Amino acid sequence: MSKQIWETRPLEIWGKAKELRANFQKAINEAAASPNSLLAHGNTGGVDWSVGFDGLNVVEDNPIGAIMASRSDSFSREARLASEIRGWGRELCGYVNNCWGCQFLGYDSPDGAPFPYRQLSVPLPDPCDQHAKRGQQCMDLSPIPRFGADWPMYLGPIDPERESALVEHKVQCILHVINEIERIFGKKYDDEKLFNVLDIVPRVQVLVTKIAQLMANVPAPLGLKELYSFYTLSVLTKIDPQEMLDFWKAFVDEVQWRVDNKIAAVATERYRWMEAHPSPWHFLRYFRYMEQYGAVCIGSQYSHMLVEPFKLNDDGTIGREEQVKVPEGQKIRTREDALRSIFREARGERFKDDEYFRKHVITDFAKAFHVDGAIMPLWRAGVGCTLTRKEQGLRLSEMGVRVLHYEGAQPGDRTDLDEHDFLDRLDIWMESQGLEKLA
Amino acid sequence: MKTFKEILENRHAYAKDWKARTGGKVLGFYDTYFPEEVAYAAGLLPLRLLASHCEDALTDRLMYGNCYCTRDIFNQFMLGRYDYVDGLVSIESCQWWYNAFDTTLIEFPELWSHYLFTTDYVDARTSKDAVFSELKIFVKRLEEWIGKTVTDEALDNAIDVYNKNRALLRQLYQLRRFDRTAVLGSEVMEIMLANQVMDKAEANVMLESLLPELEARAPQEDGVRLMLIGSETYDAKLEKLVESLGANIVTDELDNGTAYILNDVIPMKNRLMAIGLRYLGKPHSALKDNVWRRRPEHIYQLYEDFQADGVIIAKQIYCHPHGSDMYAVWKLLRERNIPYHTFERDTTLPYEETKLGVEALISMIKPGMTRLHGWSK
Amino acid sequence: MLQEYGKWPESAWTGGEAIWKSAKKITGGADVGTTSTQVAILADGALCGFANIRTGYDFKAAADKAFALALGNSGLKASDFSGIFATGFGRRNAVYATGTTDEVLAHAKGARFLYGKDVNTVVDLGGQTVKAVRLYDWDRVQEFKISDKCATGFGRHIEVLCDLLEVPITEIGEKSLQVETDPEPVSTTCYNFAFPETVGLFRHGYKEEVYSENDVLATHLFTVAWRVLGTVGKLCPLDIGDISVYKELGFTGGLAKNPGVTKRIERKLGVTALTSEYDPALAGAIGAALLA
Repeated sequence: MSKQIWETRPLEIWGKAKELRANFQKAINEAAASPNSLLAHGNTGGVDWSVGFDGLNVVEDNPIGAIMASRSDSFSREARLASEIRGWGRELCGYVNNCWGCQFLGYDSPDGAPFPYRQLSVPLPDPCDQHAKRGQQCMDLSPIPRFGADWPMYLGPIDPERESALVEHKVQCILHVINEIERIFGKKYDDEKLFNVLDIVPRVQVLVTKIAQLMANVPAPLGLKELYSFYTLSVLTKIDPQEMLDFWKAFVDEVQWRVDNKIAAVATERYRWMEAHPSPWHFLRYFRYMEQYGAVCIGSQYSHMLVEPFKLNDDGTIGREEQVKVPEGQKIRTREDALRSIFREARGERFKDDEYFRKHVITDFAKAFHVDGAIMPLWRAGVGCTLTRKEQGLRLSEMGVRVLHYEGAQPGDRTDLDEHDFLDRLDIWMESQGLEKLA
Repeated sequence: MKTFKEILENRHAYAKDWKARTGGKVLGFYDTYFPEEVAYAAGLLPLRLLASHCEDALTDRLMYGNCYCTRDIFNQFMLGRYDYVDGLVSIESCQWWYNAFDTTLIEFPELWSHYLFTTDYVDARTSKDAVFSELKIFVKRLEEWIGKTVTDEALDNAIDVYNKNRALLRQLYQLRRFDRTAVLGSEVMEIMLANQVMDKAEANVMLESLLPELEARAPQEDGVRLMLIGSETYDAKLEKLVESLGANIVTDELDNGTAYILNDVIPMKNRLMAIGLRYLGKPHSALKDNVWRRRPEHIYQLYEDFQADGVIIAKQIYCHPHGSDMYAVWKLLRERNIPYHTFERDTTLPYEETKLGVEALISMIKPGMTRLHGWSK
Repeated sequence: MLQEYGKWPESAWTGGEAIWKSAKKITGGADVGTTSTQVAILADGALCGFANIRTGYDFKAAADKAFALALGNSGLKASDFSGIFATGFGRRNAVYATGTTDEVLAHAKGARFLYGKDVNTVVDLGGQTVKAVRLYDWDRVQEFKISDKCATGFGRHIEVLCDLLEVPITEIGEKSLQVETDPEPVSTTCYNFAFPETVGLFRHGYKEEVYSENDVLATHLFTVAWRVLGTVGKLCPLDIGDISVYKELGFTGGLAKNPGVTKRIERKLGVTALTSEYDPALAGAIGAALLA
């Protein structure tokens, strides 16, 4: 690539990340095969409380649906048809349609693992209403123990009375699930394991936040495409929490070094854009396409959301917003307290919270990350991925950030994404800002 | 006396007139899980926000992918049709409702507003405690807004009025349980919709006068008896189309149909808990039926009770709760040999396209039925 | 005059005098659709006249013209018929009809006429809608499905594609099958999403592959077939497993003559569709005539 402005080089930590991910997948596969372990369908939400059950692995549909979309167009197309013909709406989220359809075809994953192999279901009603119902299908197709939980939330200023009542409800739901798993499967829940994870996870989250903050530097030491290879590692702490902590420490060190030495993710960086929600997993090559314009994506609300809401500091940097949490120095001694610390806040934990009380979040994000533009996909079939995009687009436009919208079905569903049209739009958008492809 | 149909057609005028007569405030809400009794006890008019079919050149700027109902209600706010609404309340419902609530407040920040969490998982052991706590907080906020206390007496009165309203509407539904019914599905739907925008005490007076008249009607040929399920409806166009083909909607499983009236508040000393339990005990909506599947069996029971011959499932495009509940409903209907037809609705109800499917369903149930020229109810 | 590639050949035929003069019962059926209009005349249950024409914008003129063409020089008048039933979106324009019938039943009946009593799965590939019907052996509809609101018009718009590509509509099916493997379909949601994406395939440079005309046709017709499968598959699916339909499958409607669509559906379903000596586009009209 000509017109190199910055030095660039591959990340050294890449190999370690691959190893950790492979280990996690291996553990899941072994769990599926082992008679001594249980594989649950569900979503434990944030910190994985299931860590207290040795051998219990909770598998969530979102990553599987996304993997299917990126690995095989034809397989996920077959899966979605299988889902549609049985009544699931074809305008539903691609993640869930991929997963449900896959099960109808007799598989539980794109790797060919036979269905059903899950032994219980813990569907945690999700901020997204399609996901709130995602546990039902494996329950319909196999008579497994099933549990419900809740995702209480409220809007408005922090209200201690509401906090305490709603968080307690959430905690009691999970306590009930844990008690029932103990009763049904005869396994003892190991509280110490949960306490240990709770000791590690906040420290990992601080490091993940740090990575996101470092991406605000010019040149960006890391682009969103690279971050996509790492970001889910922050929540895969279950296999070996200490190993995960060590990994993130090393990762922060490397990214900090890149910042200090002006090592760029894109050697020609002259344009920075942000996103808001997931990118099309089967078509990530538009990131490379944009590099032809010297453009780098510095992340999205989605990728950085995993590390808590941000606030803009007075000095223009971005930092973590303070939240209700266990008071400093207070040792968690009970399962209840542990769960309370996981579910610590009920206020506004839903996709639109930033609009309702923190309208400035999207604009703060743009300011702190020094962006020139924003690419905001409109996902027709993904409610959670679409809510507020137009409103955010308007708000960014008002502050002078150029906004590009494009349409598609959902990040895990290639059906309606017109790739040619998308790339055309990128060309027109960049050219309209006076930028041409670098020779 | 005005008819329910007239009130439905002039619902904005009705609410404005109510305000002028009573000096009270109007509180708009979106979903039937909203415990109206509490707002009624505070002297407010709980007003169900209903979608219409009005020109829309505004919402596209701010919304993408929304179902038509939520988009249209927001549009009506933008057009000034809801300019008499003083406050807006949203409960824990689907994301499109949430989006409409939120976006409306961004555009109309002067509206009083509250978000009331009604549990997603209604059957959890602590759901009643969470809802009770939320109701207490809601009452506190209402009291701050209206500047007076919501008394136990007012709550008792509201419970009585609403229980009576539901009982009267159940009587209305009962009229179609028998062969040779004299009441049309379109008439019932218009009453149900009008009732949701009315002061229930006034609606009760009208219902008490109307019900004997309906009961006294001469029975007519039944035609094909159909049940309507799916996303909410905001007019009786589909019912009328069905009637034009020699059939009648005899029952439904709609949020603003049977789900609105089938259970009552059982009075308790703890009034708010009593009200909360009524809403938790409602027949599950598609969204809240998210663990054990209760809804399909409930649909079947209604189907049997009202001696229906077939089912029409009308789903709004982009209605995710119903899009993710169809599998179980289809499965049950098939297993029990119940003829059904599913179709997607949108802003409009395309007459010929809809008719094609409904005709085929009727013809499947009773071949030859739709071939009778001039057949009408 | 420019060739209109999307125009399919109209047809009409009237049997000899001997057929209808000796008949005890003459019935007629008119299928006035959004894209095409057919009229069928049955003499004692045997086909003795038909017409298959493009509807255009004037439904009434099309209904009249088709009726006149089917009558030919037979000298028959509407009053000679013991009944004429109309079906299709524009059925009320067939003013000579004595009754109407729904399209699902008409196509089911017509399919039994075309393919014999064994046909148990009928797929009507119309210009506007796709209808899939599962039949009991006794001519009764067991279940039917109609394409979603947001999936209509594929048939009609194939005509538009033909004009754009300058390939006669009668040839696109075979041409589309001349690819080694089917490329991934474009958007299978609805025509409005699919068409621009198909047109976009002609551009070089973005995709590594360079699409030939046959590739484009294959992609588009695969898309149509896949959307049709979304309707057909809804007929009694299994709990686990791929699409299941009765093996005795018959296509009706104008698109039934497009092997680019039908062969792809057959492949996926693992069946070979039944064949008939009659034009499958006539099924609705024949069914209406049988019901009259």
